[in-house]
Amino acid sequence: MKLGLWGASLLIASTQLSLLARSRRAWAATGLLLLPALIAWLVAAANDKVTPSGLSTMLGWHALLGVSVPLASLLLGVAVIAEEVEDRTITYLLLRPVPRASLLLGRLVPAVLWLWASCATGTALLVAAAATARGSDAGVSDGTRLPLLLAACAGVATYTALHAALGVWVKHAMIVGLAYSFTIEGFLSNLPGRNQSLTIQHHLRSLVAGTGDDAWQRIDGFGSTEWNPLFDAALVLALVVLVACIAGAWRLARRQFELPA
Amino acid sequence: MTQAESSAPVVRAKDLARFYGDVVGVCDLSVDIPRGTVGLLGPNGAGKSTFLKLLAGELQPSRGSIEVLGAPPFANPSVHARLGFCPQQDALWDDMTAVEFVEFLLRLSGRESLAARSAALAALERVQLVDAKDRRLGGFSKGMRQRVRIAQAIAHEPELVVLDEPLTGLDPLARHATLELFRQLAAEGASVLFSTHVLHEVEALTQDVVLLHKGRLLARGKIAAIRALLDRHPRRYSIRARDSRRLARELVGLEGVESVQLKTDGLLVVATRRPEILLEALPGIASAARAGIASFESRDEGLEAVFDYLMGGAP
Repeated sequence: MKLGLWGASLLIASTQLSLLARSRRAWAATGLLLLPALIAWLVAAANDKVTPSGLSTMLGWHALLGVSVPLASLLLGVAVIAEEVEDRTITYLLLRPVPRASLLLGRLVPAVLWLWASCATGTALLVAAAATARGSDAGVSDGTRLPLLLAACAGVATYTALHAALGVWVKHAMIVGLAYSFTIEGFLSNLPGRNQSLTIQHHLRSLVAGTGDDAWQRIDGFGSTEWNPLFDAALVLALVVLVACIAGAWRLARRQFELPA
Repeated sequence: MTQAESSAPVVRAKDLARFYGDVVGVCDLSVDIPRGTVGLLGPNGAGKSTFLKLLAGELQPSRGSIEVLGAPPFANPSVHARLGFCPQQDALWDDMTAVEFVEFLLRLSGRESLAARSAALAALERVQLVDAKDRRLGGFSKGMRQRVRIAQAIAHEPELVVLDEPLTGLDPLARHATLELFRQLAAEGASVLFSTHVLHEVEALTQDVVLLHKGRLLARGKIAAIRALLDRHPRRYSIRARDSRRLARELVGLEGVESVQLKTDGLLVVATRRPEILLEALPGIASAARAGIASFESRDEGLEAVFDYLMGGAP
């Protein structure tokens, strides 16, 4: 009985999930997502004046959303297909009677699930570490922690899908992905004006702006930026995921991989 | 299988070419490979792996066409369901155990969970790895890794088993057992196509060979014809001796010897049409001349020599 797209994807995904737990790359991505929590804990211990809500919004915005989410997604995203090519194990998958798109889907979904779990842990630890800050304010509210978690999860899904597709299309996906992360996501998203709406980062921040409370107003430029409406931002991110998956699957169905002996 | 299917070639290549930029992988290759066991012979760089990758559907032709079991193999699940491929590259998912690896690939081939487990164990049994079934592949020796690659290629009982240098890295015992396994597969009705650059490995399994050289088809036929070609030419031997010059003088007059060359590094190359006389007389001659032989080897056993003969040149 030949497996269809969904059956093969599910089988690959279940195997891939157990392999991820043994993968150093996956744990490195988790480490990146936990890093803001560690920084929060160090800052809270070292500085008497920093407040819980100030620390969580500042690190959530700049460190988690701005650095950890794009880099952790890059690390696991390019590995979805490119790692199999680098390891020369893709032969075994390509020469089985399953739709090639299932290789992308079956390896992308576990990567995103892993990163979601890491994001949830990272956000919870960040908030917990920030709560130990000794400055006085109202504490970390749901209006701070839930938008942060939402944006982080949406971010890893979008970036991972994008980088997974990149891994199918280009040979040196990690280098291209790093260049994209720093030049487009890192630089363009912080420029004033409408250009920043070309970045995923802007739409993630729009999710925070659309669902967060006033605590986020203390971020520089937050109040003066024209954020996308919540629905539009979510729609753009969903479309990016969809287009990346379709483009990646289309290319994978046609691509030949020249693997050295 | 209908009679037409059973007589149809398992592989049909027509004007097949594959280039890697300016480098020729295979070129203008037209060949029909029949059912049964066939050896794909050629020296390193002959295009064997490229041909097998085209055949397995890992690569697409740059020009021409290839059909495997009646259909183009590239990204073709219906061909892949009937084909088992053992790649040359030593690449496995090192975090998996042997049985997990074979079972996972079997499930991708459409086997149910329980059937996949028992077929995986049976395949590992056939390559004598069942005792190591629960060990991580990362801890396997080179020979064990080769055997597990063979196991995944045969586990789903494909009609055509394609193996790229399957005996590489195997010790003599495992090599013997693997050759026996290929015989069994052929006896069970599977077609086996395997590549090698070692002539006697092919002879141990089949008389049918396809010879590639520099990406082109050189010959297709029986291995006995190749042996006959070898016998029509003088055999050449390399001898390294303490006093090569003196040994050369003694060998010149020996029956059957056509030429004796003394290389600048002291290596003696002897060409003879009567190798049996040389082999019998050499110890006595060397001893009498006090030449002190350090090494002696045939220069004609390698495939390069066969190919040079076929191409019309002297080795």
